[in-house]
Amino acid sequence: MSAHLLLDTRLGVETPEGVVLELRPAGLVPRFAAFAIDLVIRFVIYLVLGTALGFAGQFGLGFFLIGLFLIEWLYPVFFEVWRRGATPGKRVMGITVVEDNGLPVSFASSVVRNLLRFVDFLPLFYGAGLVALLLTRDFKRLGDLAAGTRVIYVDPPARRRILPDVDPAAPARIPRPEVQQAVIELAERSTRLTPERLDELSSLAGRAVGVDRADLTSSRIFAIAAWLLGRRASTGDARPGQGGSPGRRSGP
Amino acid sequence: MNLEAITLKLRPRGASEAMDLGVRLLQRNAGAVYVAWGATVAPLMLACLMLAPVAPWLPTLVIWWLKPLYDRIALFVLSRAVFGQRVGVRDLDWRHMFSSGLLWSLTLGRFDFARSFNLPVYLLEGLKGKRRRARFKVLQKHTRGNAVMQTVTFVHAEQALMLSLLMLSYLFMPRWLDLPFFDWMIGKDAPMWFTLMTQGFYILVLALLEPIYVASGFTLYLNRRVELEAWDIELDLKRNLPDDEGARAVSPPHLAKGTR
Repeated sequence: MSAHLLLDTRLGVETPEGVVLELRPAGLVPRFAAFAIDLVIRFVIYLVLGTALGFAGQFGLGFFLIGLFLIEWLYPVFFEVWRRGATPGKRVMGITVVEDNGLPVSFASSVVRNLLRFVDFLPLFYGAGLVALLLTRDFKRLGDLAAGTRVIYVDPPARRRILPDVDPAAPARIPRPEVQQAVIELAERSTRLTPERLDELSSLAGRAVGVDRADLTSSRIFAIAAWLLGRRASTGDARPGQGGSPGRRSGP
Repeated sequence: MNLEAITLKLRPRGASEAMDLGVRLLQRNAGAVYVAWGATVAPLMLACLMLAPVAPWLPTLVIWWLKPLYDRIALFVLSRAVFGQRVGVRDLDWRHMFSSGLLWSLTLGRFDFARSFNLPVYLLEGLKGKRRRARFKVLQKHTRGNAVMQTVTFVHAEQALMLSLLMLSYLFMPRWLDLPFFDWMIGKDAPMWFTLMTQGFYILVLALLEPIYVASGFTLYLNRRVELEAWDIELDLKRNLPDDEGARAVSPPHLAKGTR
């Protein structure tokens, strides 16, 4: 199975410099939650505004309606353009609006995408937007399609970078970068695995890096992972760069 | 289960991202799911419509209540599709689909808000009793909230689409007919064609949303297992075993219990 056939939500966007940026578009569930949060926030604003202006009679009502109009249409635009692409609801859900190519959303795009909310809302309660969101490959509502924007996740999923505390030990031979990566990940994620599963994967990792079956334990794999990450036994004074990428240290 | 045949890109994902992957999973396998549904669920729903003369609200209720049946068929197809197997109508394994936890899922389990996430455990893991409960506990840790969030989202989506279709039909109704549309909508002696039309709308909405709901719950479940069992690491290591190791690595036995 070649890699490009594997199903994933990620999109690669190539910059003019030839660097491929990975965007991870966000789908219905987080966007619905973000919308709900924003709805509550707007409702509270209206409640406060309405109570305050309620004392001003007809004049207050007129003022309230103007406020309603402005907030309803400009609330998302304001946050998208001047608050790094995310309304408070989107901020909570860890998602943000960007241009198709990953650049920060421009004023024009933001206005287009939010004016077209009207179309997405048709026939009632975002029916059209919902169908578009579920049928497009990169989860776009009609406003996103028209404006050339998308909603993406901001942060990659949290990753533990703490290795079990063992003395580093060099492997018999330097394994391929993919194997190095896998061994390090195994050590980092070891606390989440059941002991049996850890043993299984350790023996697999042992075969991949060529450890003798006799002295194969998970702590041996952790030691190799620590070594691959650039740690060395504390006897020497040279402690090479921490956090160096695993691939970099695999030289001759 | 042969992990190497998996058609999903395995990587650590956040829960929301995992559910999004389900949308893509369905988009790619919609054909297989709808073929299976066309042969099984469609006749069942038509039969439900026959209940309309008894009480106008009855078919919708029954169709809604029987969702776990449709879910199981969709999940069966998708669980095969994930490992690159295309399932036709003849390949549907009835015993497999409906033997485990069916009564529960049609009674109290019908109101389980993590339904889509729990279903794969019933259908694919073949555990019973105490061991199944323990399994749920492990899987649901840190993830149940997301599964519930998904159900809440889809309940709202269903209502929004339902109202959208009703609104659309209202907008396209000629004004000169002067029908008491809104009276009918709240159930005041609606004619039979109107009742059947709204029930048809419900079937349409369900046909669009339910497979996606199942697929998203399934990918959320898979993501949890990838997290707990480090499938991605296993795959990376197996693909990079030194060439002198002729024998192909075999899936460890306790994993083979899943999809076969």
